[in-house]
Amino acid sequence: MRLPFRHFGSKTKYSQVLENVKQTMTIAPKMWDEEALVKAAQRGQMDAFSELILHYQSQVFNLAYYILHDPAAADDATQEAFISAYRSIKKFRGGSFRSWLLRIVTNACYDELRRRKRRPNVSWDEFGDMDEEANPHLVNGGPRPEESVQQQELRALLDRSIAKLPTHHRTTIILIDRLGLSYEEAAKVMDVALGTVKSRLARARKEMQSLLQAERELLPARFRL
Amino acid sequence: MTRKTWSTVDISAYLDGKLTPEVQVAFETTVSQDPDLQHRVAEMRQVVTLMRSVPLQEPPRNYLLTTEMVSESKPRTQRRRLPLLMMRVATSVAAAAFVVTSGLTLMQRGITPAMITQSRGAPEAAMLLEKEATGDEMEMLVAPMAQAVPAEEPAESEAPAAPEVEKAVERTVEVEEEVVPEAPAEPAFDMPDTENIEEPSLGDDEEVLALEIGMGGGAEEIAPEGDADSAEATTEVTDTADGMTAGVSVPDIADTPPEEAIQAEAEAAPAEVAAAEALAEQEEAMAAEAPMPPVEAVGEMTTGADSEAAIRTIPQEDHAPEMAGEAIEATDAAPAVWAPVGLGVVTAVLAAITLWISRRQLD
Repeated sequence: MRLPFRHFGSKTKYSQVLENVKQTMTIAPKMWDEEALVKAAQRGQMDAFSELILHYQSQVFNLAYYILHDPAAADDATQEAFISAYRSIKKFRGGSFRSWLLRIVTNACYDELRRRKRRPNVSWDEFGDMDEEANPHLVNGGPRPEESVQQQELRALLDRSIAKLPTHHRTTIILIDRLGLSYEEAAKVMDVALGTVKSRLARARKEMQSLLQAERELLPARFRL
Repeated sequence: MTRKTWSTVDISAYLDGKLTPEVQVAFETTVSQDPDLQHRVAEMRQVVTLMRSVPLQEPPRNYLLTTEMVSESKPRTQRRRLPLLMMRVATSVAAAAFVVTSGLTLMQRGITPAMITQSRGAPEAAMLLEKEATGDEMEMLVAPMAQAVPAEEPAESEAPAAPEVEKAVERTVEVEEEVVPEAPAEPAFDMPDTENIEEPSLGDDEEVLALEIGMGGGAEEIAPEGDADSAEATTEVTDTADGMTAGVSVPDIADTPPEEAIQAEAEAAPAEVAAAEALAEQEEAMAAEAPMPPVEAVGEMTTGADSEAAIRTIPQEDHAPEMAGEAIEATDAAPAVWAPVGLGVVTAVLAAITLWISRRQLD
């Protein structure tokens, strides 16, 4: 390979560029290596933990969103979960990082639900700015404009039905059917036995079936029996 | 393997492939033969398919962390708690030092807790002791003393009165032979009307002495009628003071008619009362520091008629050695007294600051 020496004033400058390229190749991961990222994050590298955040933030937010059924609260819970995860990542002893992370956000959401029982209403002072972009209370948690109408209706129906499930059943069906976790991972996230996960999932599916049947006319034809 | 019914858990596990191979074979066999079970499986499969087909919600933003977001909580809490912790320690140390210093000061002064406990009934006890020691005459003299002493006066100035009466008697004998060097320079007596005051009308010696003690014990010179020795003594004092000194000048009793003396006394009564009040105040101040002078005067009463005139001529300078000693004691005791007082003030200030910091942190 011929090196473009003519583009650089001296050999020293070329070596500097080569070093920068090496550093760039070192920083940018070519493939997803969760274990390496976790170890780097345990050493205090914020960039590595940021990679983990970008990879899992959708799942974390959705879990919080479906548990809390509130976009603003889910946003706060997600942020708090990542902060808690970073502070305690040195305690992570291996295994499924996703399960560990989702367990943190699940506990944060349960804490939020308990807090809501004590203080069910949002005060006007907390409501704050009337600007919709600045105020998470005003963010519309419904379907986005770019989605098709059918998709929007289906998502809204699904959200309403999931919101009616008991908390533990809701968490179980979200973890397994929405986020794609295995039974074992779901058991770790919820800190329950595997048999409990099976039974909760079966009941949640049965309840969802009943709820969806009640609004059968809103379902697409392929989901009707 | 034959089973009559298949539960929802079995159907759910079958859809996820979580049944054991044997159970799965049995389940599939039953499903192929049971339309109702087929319908149940189809319904649940639709739910699972629907749940997995709808895409996830897009998070409203990225949740990337910054160093400030991660590291702001704990250090801030520690920084907040550090001043409060330091103030608590400082307040505790100051309070402990205050208690120790106060105790040492009391011990240096010879005050024990038992004495403090007994001192609550000390004024009455001192009165009873003095009555027993000196009889009815003492009873008359101690009454004005007890009135002159403030109620809050600690018992240490009154309780040891009885033994000090004997000392006072001995001092009185010595005082008889002393020559008064100079009349006291009391501004309260620097009044022209008082120069001609004569007090022979107070023939009752007890009344005179009672008045004398009540007014300050020995500062005023009163010569009884017909006592030549005392007249000479008082004349000597007046001469020493050149008759125009600020101190109390006693006129020559032998040259002054009694009627004029009475008139002069009547004219000078308001000024004399004012002087007496000033002396009483001074005596109270003196009694607070040195309880000895009034007791001395009480003791002088018991020494006989000849000593009365000499006793009355005792100016304040006669107490100079005692006062000097007391001043030395007061000078020595000043740091010991101010140490606990200062520590108490410091402790109070530190406690107030600590309370303020803790309340601010709670807010």
